[in-house]
Amino acid sequence: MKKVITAGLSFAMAASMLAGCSSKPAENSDSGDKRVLKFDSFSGGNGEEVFTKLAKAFEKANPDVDVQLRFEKELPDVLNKENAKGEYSDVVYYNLGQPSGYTETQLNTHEVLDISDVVEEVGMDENYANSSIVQYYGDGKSYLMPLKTTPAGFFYNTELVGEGKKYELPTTWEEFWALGDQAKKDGIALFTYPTNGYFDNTLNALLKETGGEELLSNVLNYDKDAWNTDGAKQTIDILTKLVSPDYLYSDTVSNANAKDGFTMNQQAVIDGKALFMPNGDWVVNEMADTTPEDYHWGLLPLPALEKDGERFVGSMTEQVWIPAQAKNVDDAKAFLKFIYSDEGVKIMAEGGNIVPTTHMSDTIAAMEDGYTKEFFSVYDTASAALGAFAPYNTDNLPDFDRAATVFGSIDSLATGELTAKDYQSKLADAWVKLSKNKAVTE
Amino acid sequence: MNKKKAQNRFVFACLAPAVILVFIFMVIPTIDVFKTAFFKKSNFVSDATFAGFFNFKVLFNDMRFIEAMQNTILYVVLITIITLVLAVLFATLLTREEFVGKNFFRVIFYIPNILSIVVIAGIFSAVYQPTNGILNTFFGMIGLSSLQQQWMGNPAVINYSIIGALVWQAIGYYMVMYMSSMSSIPENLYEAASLEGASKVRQFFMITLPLIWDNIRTTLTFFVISTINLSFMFVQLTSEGNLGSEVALNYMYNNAFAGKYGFGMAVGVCIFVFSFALSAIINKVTERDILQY
Repeated sequence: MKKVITAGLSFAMAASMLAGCSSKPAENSDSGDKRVLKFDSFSGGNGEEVFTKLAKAFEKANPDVDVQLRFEKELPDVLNKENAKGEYSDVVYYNLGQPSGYTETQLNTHEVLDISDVVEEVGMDENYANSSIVQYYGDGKSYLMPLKTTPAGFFYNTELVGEGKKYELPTTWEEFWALGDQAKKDGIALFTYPTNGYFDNTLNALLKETGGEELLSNVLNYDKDAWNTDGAKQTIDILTKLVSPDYLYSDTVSNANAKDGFTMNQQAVIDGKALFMPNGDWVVNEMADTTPEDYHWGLLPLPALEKDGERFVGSMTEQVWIPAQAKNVDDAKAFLKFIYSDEGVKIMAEGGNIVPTTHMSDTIAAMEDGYTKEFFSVYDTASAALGAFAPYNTDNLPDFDRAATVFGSIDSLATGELTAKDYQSKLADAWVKLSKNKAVTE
Repeated sequence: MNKKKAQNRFVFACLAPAVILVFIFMVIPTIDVFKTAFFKKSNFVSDATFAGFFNFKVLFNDMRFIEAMQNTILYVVLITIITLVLAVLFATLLTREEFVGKNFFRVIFYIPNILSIVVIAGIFSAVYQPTNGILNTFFGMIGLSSLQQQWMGNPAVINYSIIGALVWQAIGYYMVMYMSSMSSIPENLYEAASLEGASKVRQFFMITLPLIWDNIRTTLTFFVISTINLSFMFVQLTSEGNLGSEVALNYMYNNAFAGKYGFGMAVGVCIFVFSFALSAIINKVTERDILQY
């Protein structure tokens, strides 16, 4: 009898230890019989307020839906774990081009819902609707929906650079470098970058400037000769010069590779140690705590190649998408449409976020004076460059890291490990590989 | 006979929970890692296609992986040597010598060990910060501006900066390990030695070192494991493996959880084999007759 009890007890012990591992998250009790819409968002520079407002307004319009917002700094880790358990969000706000590549992976494994019907219906600006961001596979179907757009050029201090200020605002690259030489004499660097990833929009704009839409599209779509063109060479030369010791703020690479060190590089611009950096409108909020009151941000499109030449600025978008296995697809689609509705656009605009609708210029015009309006005025003098890298078959090229090859190498250019020529041949080699492994839709 | 049987059952019942847990949380996942390494797979849930040795073939031609393994070996070798020498030295001083503030130093040396690696990464970000960092400011203050460096921004020094931080955090732990075995060495051995005229240095090499040898052997395995693990966390929190500071586990992590699960697991298999082989080799090479007192 004793033996049986001993065995039974030890079994119970083992079982109870194992039971602890399989606890299910408690169901949200106050959702009642409402339909739950799970909105999972990357927690970044845009803050949470605007989404909370959007959710409230959506719930008001759809009383039987309960929007459950969640903000996570390490969103891919959280979602990967949940996906492994078979749980999926209904709407995900996570951008392309992140180091984790979560959105790209979900697209490559066909875990993103085709939302062509939504995109068609909402009245999205054509430049965006037809871009490789929305139509990720270039097959005419839409998968990602831009939540907001913002011009992403070179940010600077208008109190330091501008008309009647200490430094003249450059309009051509020649003037830009001359300004760099002038600033250097005062002990100020011309340029810094938060991290190498911030070059994405700059690269788009540069490629469009040096080789037109054709070059930009060839690069984004892995044309094997794209990097061997004159335009590409010019782009690489400009990039190399930007990060050369003559013009780059000396602590840039160290800071860029420290945890959260990107803020230190951004602070360098605020403190007047460096004049320009590639960034987006979120930098205003991100750095608000350490920005002096008399400081004012400005946004410079890329300087022109020649006097009176055409100027370009990268158009950054942030994307939302619906997982293919989402439980509540109908409400998810309704929520995306709501973002593009008049009310949604208004709520977004109140938070300084511009939704790329067909009437976005009206939205901007109707806004109060402020940074958003000022930043968007950049389009008065510069054309937009936008697009995302086409998908490729990661299974066949597991050792290839596109972000490290394209943008990571910029750190090596800055430290002098890599020359412009090496960088160009590195990219050209990579593009040959990529052109053979372009992903096709099934 | 019956009693023997009962005893066996009792032993079995007591061991069962641990065995089951180890099996579920260690053995099965490890087998799964080895299995997945032979598949093309994007993440936990995606479809897997059998790829044979494809992942390994790519891996052995992958410069970043080779760099990661080189760095891992560099870290293991340098951190082990430097930490071992310093920890034994400090342990000897703190157990064998009498001086003011002995206990204070014991605490000071041990403090880094109770800090989490996240805190250590934070501390060293501040130490190595180029303009306001302690190290560069210190060099500037004592007139050695020529020694100022971009500690975490210069590919030529970044690995040594990381090694410096990891040595700093490891010394305390190993020092305490060695101190405990040193303090159990009977005092009369040293008395006899000094009567015979043996110097302190000679006493150390003839008495202390042989008698803590078994302890050092054990810690060598710890060095291999902890360096591989901690360097990953430190790199992940600071340079993220850029600028030539990639380490093996970081490379595995960055692939496995960025859409290349199968490939990442192939890296994992290599690290697994590497750690096992290295520990086995160290164990074999350092084998001596155990000395008793």
